[in-house]
Amino acid sequence: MGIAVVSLVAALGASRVANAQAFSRLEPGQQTVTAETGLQSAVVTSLGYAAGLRVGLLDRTVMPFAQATLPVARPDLRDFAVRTGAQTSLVSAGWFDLSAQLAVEVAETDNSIYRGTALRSDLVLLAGHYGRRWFAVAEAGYDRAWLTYVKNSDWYRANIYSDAKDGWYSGTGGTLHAGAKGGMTLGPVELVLRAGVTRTETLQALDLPFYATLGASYRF
Amino acid sequence: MNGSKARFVTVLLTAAAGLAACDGINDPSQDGNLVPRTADEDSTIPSVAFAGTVFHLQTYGDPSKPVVIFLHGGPGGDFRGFGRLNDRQGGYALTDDHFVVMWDQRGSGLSKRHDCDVFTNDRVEADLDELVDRVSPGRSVTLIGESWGGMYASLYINHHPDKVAAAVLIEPGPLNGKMFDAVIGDLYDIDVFSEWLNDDAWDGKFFSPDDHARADYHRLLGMRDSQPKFHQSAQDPAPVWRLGAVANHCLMDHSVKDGKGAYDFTDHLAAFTKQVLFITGAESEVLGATLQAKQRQFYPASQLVTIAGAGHDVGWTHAAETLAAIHAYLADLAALAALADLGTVGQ
Repeated sequence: MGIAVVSLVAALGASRVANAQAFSRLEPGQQTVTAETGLQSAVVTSLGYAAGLRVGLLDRTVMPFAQATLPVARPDLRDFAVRTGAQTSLVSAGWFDLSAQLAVEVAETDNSIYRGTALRSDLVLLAGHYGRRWFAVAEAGYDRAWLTYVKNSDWYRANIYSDAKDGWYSGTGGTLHAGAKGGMTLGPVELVLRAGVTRTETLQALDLPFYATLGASYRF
Repeated sequence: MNGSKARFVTVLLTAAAGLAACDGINDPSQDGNLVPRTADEDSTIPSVAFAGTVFHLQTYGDPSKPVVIFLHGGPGGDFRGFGRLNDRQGGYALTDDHFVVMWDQRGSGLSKRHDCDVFTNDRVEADLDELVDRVSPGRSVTLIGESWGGMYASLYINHHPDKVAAAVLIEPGPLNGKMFDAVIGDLYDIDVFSEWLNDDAWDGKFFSPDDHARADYHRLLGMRDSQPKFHQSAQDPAPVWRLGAVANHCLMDHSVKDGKGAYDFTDHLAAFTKQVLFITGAESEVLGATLQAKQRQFYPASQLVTIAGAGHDVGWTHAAETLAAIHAYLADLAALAALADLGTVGQ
């Protein structure tokens, strides 16, 4: 083995998940399709759909969404994630709004040491201002892989650890993130920029502790 | 919190705890699941405790013979890849005339894990010094180091030249900051289009490095494909038991500041006048013959052997040729020592 995998590599591997959606908020009856790219657990591109629904029981507009994500630096159909959830405003007072976004996700990977399927969730709180033509919010989130199925590769068993256990693993990963999200509206198009910092769920520092994405959505 | 909310939280936490405890649901933090247990956790692993830790250590041959200590790569690797150099090759085995000591360095391989703050060059130097005193009290030793192990050997020789009888440096990494800065750009394939780097980053959706087991498992992701210029064998890779992610990361961080090498294992090497053997693989681009031709200059006396068809993992893929070079080198040193003894007797 060479002078192995230096901090830079660890840092890239340590760039973590910080999920959110590339739209601000939707009024009842509005729909949008979204596209987002950037550094967010690899260099990824996501395509999504969201709608604004008035839910009388909650006396709120709920925005259910769905999103599919692929690493795009090197497209590999064995690595993908699909995610669905909803966003809604919790508190709105004057110019200030506090919203929450909750999603569940299924992620797949196939690499040199294992093939995995993760059942994940992420919760994001968004606090700030939504204007007619722009919005700016602070975001803070927690995402977690609650259950992950791991099948260790033949290569891993042959060269590293022959007794590695395949099967379901609980709580394999979790990340906290905090940052800012903002955007502007140009007709039916909304451009959204997100950036922030991350730490692991036990507050371990990461060498490259940030995420940054640029997204666009089209409302109809 | 009102009663219904408290009940909800209680149910949620109970469900989470129950899920984790379910039969058939594994704990990723538990050694033995994704990565093997370490010597402090498994009494069947040969080990020795000193310097406040437990080292995976195995010895071979007659302890009355001169001692050879192997120093593996990494930092954070282990000695499993030295297996063929310890076998009989071409009618010769190191144990024919030496007592061989293989060990996994602090926090590496199957040795006990530690937090980041213990990983300093002074600490690892002290570990090796204590090992030398334990396995070869009063007698100098031969060091055989590969990659980081060659750097480690130089770190030790730099401060303890009198305790080392001979040194074999198999493709040592950069021995000082200047050498490091010259090769850093070629060490890893930091290409955002490379599959290994995408896999490595995407792994963040599955595992976070919140404990040693998960950090070590993740670290193995880059092992196979991250260093194409090293030309290591894909068909016959040198095996490891387990990488020490914290040892690797923190020892490197200790020596690299703002991306620049901030260490010097060479400033006293002029005091080491014995012959040093450098071995390289002819195919190795980064730590191969070109770099070692420069690094030899740090030692007053050295020789360089380049093995055809080999990459950085020359000690594994071309073990017979590597061992033959080591054997010839040690035999020459023994002959010189015998001549010196004759001269002393004749005076």
